Formats: sequence, C-alpha cells, structure tokens
Amino acid sequence: MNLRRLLLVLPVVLAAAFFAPALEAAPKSGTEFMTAGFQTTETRPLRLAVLPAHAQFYKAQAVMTNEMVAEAGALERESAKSIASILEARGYSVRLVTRADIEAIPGGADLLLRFDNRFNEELGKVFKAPKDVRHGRFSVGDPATELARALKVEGLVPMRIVAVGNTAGRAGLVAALSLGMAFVQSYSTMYLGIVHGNGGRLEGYFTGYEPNGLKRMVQEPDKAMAELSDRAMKDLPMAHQVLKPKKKDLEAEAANPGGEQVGDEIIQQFEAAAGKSLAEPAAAAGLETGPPPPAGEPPAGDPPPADNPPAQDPPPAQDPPAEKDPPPPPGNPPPSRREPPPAPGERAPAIRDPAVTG
Amino acid sequence: MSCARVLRRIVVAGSVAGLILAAAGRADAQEKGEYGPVPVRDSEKPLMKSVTEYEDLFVRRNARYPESAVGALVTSIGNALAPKPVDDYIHYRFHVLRDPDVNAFALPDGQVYVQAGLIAMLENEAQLAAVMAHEVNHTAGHHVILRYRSVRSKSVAGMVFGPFTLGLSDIFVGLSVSGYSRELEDEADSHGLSLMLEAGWDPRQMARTFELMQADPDVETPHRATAWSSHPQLPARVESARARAATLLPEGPTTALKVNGDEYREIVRPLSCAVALGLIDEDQPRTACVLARRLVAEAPANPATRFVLAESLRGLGALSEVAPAEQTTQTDKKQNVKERGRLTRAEREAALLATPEGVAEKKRNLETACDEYHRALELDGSMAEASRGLGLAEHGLGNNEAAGRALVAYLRARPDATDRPIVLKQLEQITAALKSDRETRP
Repeated sequence: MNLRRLLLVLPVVLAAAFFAPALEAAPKSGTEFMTAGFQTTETRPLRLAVLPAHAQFYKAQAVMTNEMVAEAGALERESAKSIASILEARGYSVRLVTRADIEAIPGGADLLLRFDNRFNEELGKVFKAPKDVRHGRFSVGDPATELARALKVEGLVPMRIVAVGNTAGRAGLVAALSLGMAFVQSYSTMYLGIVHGNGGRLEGYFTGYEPNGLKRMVQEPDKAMAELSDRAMKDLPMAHQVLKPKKKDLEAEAANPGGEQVGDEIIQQFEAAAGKSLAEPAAAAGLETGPPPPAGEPPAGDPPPADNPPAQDPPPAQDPPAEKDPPPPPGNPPPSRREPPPAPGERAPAIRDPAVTG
Repeated sequence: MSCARVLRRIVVAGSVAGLILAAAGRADAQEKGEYGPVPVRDSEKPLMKSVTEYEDLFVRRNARYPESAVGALVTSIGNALAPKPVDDYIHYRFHVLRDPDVNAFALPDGQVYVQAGLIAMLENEAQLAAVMAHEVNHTAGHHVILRYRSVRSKSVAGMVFGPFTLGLSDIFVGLSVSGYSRELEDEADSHGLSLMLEAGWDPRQMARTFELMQADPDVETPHRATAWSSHPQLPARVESARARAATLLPEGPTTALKVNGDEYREIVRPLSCAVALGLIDEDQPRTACVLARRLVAEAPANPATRFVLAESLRGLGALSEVAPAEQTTQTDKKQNVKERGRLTRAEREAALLATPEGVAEKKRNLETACDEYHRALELDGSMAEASRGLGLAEHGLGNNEAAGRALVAYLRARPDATDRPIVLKQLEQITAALKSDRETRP
C-alpha cells in the first residue's frame, strides 16, 4: 500500500475505532435505581416471586399500527422465564408465578389485580422521577404485603414490556418521506421493579432497551427476551453482594426505613401494655364468635413476656377512658357521637363521568 | 425565489390540503354504520386477529368477573337486544369486567364488555339495557371496522400532504377522525333507543343513564373540547336521548315498558360492594362514598353495605366527603389530575394533613367510620373485617387501646389472613404508643 492510499484510509479507520464503542453502546442501554437499604442488603428481599409479566406489542405497518396480542403473550412468558433464570444465577431464591399458582390462592386473582393496578399507578410516577427510587419514595402498599404473604416470599418482581416492531414497508416509507433523513427501528423495552413484601416499598427499579427486530421478536421471543432481560438486569447485584450507597441515599433511608417483619408475639406485648385481661377480645371488639387462638399462642390473660412485666403497667382502674361507649342493643343503632350521616338519596347516586365508549 | 415567497407558498399549500382533508372528513362524518354484511378486507385482518385475541387477554389478566347472577343478567339483556348477525365473524357474547371505572365497549366480532363500575352506578335494568343497546349497535353497524377504514384512508392522505403542510395535516386528520367517531356514537344512541323499545325496555332511561355519568365526585374529570372528543358531550346526549325517546314512545300508557329497579339493585348489590372497595383501592374515595351511601340507603340492615360505607369513609383520609364547590372548576379538575400523576398517595395525604382543615376532616371521617363499623358489627358480629377496619380507624383517632383490642380480635378471627403482617405492624405501633403513654403518665 502506498503512502497516499494509507493517508486516505487511516482517518476512516481511526474514526471507526473511535466511534465503534459509542455505536455499540448507544442503542443498547439499561439503567437501575436502588434504595440504600437494597444496596446494603438490609432491605434486600432474597426470596422473590417473579409475577406474570405484562407486555404490549405493536406492529407498525406502512399505514396502520396494530396490536399483536398473542405475540405479546409469548413475550410475557419468555421474559418472566429469562428474569427468573437471571435472578437464580445471582443467588436469589425464585418462584416463577403462573396463573395456576394465583388461582390456587383463595382470592388470588383479585389480589394480583389489585397489586398490578397499584404497581401501574406507581410506575407512572416513577417514570417522572426515577432517581427518587433511591430515596424510597415509591410504595405499592398493602397489596404487595398481602400478595407476598400469600405467595410465601419476601419480595415481588413485577415487569412491564413494550415492544414495537416496524415492518420493512414502514421503514421504507419513513425513509422515503424524510428523504433519507429519518429511520425507524424495532425495539423492546422493559421496566422491572423489585417490591418489598413487607410494606410494599419499591426497592429496585431496572430498565432495559434492546433494538431487536420484528422478525426476531415474533419468531424467537425466547432469544429476544433473554437479550432484553440481560440488558435490564446487568447491574443487579448478587444476592449477598454489598454495595456502597451514596451518603444522601443513606440519609433518605434513615428517614424512611424499609419495613421490618413483626411477629405474632406483638399480640402478647399489646395485651401486657393494655394492662388488663383480654380474655374475650372478640366480644370486646364487637365480634360474636371467632376461632380459638392459633396454636402456640398463649390464651389471653397469661403472664406477659418478661420484657413487659406487669408491675410496670398501671392498674386497670387508672386506664384512660379510651374505649367507646358500649354498643347499644341490636336494632337500635347508637346515636352518633358526631354528625349524623346524610339522609339517603341526598346526593346524586352516580359515580363519575367517563363516556360509554364503543 | 425569496424566503418569504417560499413560506407563503407552503402556507397556502398547507391551507388547501387542510381544507381538502377537512372536506373529506365531513364527507366521511356524514356516513352511517353499515347494517348489512361487511366482508373483512385483507388489510383489516390484523385488526380482527387482535380483536379475537383480546378475549384470551382478559382471561389471562384475570380481568373478567366470574360467572354470577350479574353475568347472567348481562347476557340475558344482551341476547334480547342483539340483532341476528349478518356476518359469519359476528358471534355475540357478553362479559363483565372487574374494573370499577364507568365504561363499556364492543368489539367487531360481537364481544361486548360492561365494566363493573358502570353496572354498580346504574339504577335499574332499563339503564343497563340502554348501555348494552348502544354497544350492540356498534357491532351490528360495523362501527369499528368502518372507523378503522376511515382512519386508514385519512392516514394515507395525511402522509401524502404531511410534508407540504408542515405537520398541520395531522391536526385535520385528528379532528376528522374524532368527528366521525362522534357521528357513529350518536347513531349508536339513536338505534339503541329503538332496540330498547322493541325489546320492551323504557327508552326514557337512556337519558337518565347519561345524567348519572355526569357526576364527578372526585373532581378529576375535566371536560374535553368537543372537537377532540370521540363522544358527543354528555349534556347534549341527555337532551337528544330525551327528545328521541319522546318521539319513539307510543301514545297512551307506557306502564308495560320494563324498568325493574328494585330487582336490579338487589342482584347487583354484592358487585356494587366490591366496586366500592375497588374504588377505595384505586384512590377514588369520594366516588366510593357516594356509591356506599346509596348502598346503605337501599339496604340499611345489610352489614356489608355498612362495612363498605365505613371503609369508604376511612379511605377518605383527610379529604372532605364532598368536594367544596369552589374546587370544582375545570382548572381545579385539571390540577387534580396533574397532582395525582405527580405525587404519591402518601405525599398527597401529608399535604392535606399540613392544614388544620385536613386534620379536622380526617378526624370527622374516622369518627363517622367508627360508627359505621360498630353498626356493621351489631348486624353481623362475626364480620372480622369490620373489626379490622374499626381498629385501624381507632388507631387513626389515637384511641390506642380500643384500636388494639379490635385488631387483636381480627387477628384471632382470621389467623391466615393475607394482611396479617400489616395488622401486626399497626399493633406494634399501638403497643409502643400505649407503653409510652403509661410511662409518661404521672
């Protein structure tokens, strides 16, 4: 090669070498946000339930865009499997939840629906300020605790996937109409949360973007979702790996700590603190009947635990009048201590104002 | 050519294209549904494929309400209203969705969905028939397919003219599509009234249905500009349904027409209770309260309705049960929607509790809730969930001992409840507060 040719080629080679890493990294990206407790493993759930994923798959054709419902189902199945295998590989104990698992739980379908709705609600806010996940700002609330208890896990892993596949016709049309200045790309994105099963705090939020083609997503959903899952979970720590959170994240954690599990012993502690026998708690609270206390739980009135000696409690006679007036006999509702409820039919008996659509 | 001249030409071309599109839109808008056979074109096969798969999707998402008396009622009304299908791809089936929002929709292959929130809101069977007649007409008139064709043709026009109109064509396409959609909705109302009358239901109830939909207790539904709305405005729909029903009704007594109020409300009561609880979950406590008050008015001796009212009141937190009149303007509604999207539930509650009014409101709501929990427990002493709610409400009021007793009662009555960790956590706080009280007492 003569010098003249080398001088011509060299800038091209150098430019390619300079931009290649950027080109490689630019379209494939993933981000993660974790609470300080999650990073230090204090609030990191290790037994996780991977919940059924929700995927939306759109096929953008030259003129119209159509939803691909059955193909989205394949993406849902494969993404859940991929995420479960990644979590297992990093040392987490994983339960891949199926529809049959949910149906086996009494009220499970309702519980999952409540959880999904609440997660979707929070996700809308997370999109606007994902960094706030580090401060423990987002919580799915009670449905998360209930679902985790029903599934016997410490944490829940919900995920949402959006996939857009552009046909060749669409790509050609966009390129032609923009005179080659614009192009479209098929891709899939994943938004995944790790929700604590005690309190429902969003401990970790992981996203991934993968430019996989329409054909690949339709014909090889397993491979497409494996790539996407890898991308989203690339920064998930190993189960027992301790990370070093930022100082301000630690401060936020101290102000808003994650939930700790409370055991049944709190019932006895309450009884001791209340300072009087709760031999008939059901009757005291208005319940007529109820099953006996669970096995292992001492009957009401038993000596309190050692850390709550009765001597420290004031005698019952000094109890503040915290309780309500005794309920009146049935059929004669008690006079309200406050304002009476509005008369029946006082307000328009309607719910809200969306339209009946077709 | 000077720059100004080029710009002027572009603007003129854009205006002309816009006018052409608008004219095309008007021409389409004057079209009506097609009640004869409408073969599906190749370009519409993806649409029909998705539509068929939706049925599985709703099952996969557990969104369908399980078979029940309400489902049977919806099916029987639907079958009474549905005309004989004229295409082999139409096969009517009627489902209830678990969603507490007020909505219903129909798909072109005959699937008709009514959401639980709508069923709970209605007062009688004739109103449900009005909704279903409207939806059945969308399928019978092939509205979805026709709208798909309309959007498709307008999109092609938009693509061709788009570069010359600096993107203005998209606006005209949007306006045109919305206008066409409103025409079809109007037609579905009009034909629905006739169907109702033929099947023996009182068509006057359709206007009442639209009146009910206008309520907005949570003040979060700002009105949309008519031009961009896919449906005619509700006040206009009320007037037009009323006028059409008057012309349709035969002269003389109309007592033979079915309305079935009491029986309907009896059948949908359990579903309505579930809807009210669902609305609390969805953080729409004012709407839940309106529904719960109505349920209590209908069945005051039913412990379930009392419980639902108590839960709704507790769910209000620091919100007033009825939105103050000065907070119901369009600007307020838009602001409310914005805040809901921006702030978490805990942040909104904290903002309300930062004011004395909010604190007072919360106290009032919890006190009323406690009364209702007590009433529920008087009516059904074994209702452990009422005991739980009572405990949580008393805890909110600072009545720790009463709160703890009620929660312990719940924990003993429901040892396997999924919310046990939540209740135990509350009990822990109550116990800590009690100990602290005792220690600080002289």
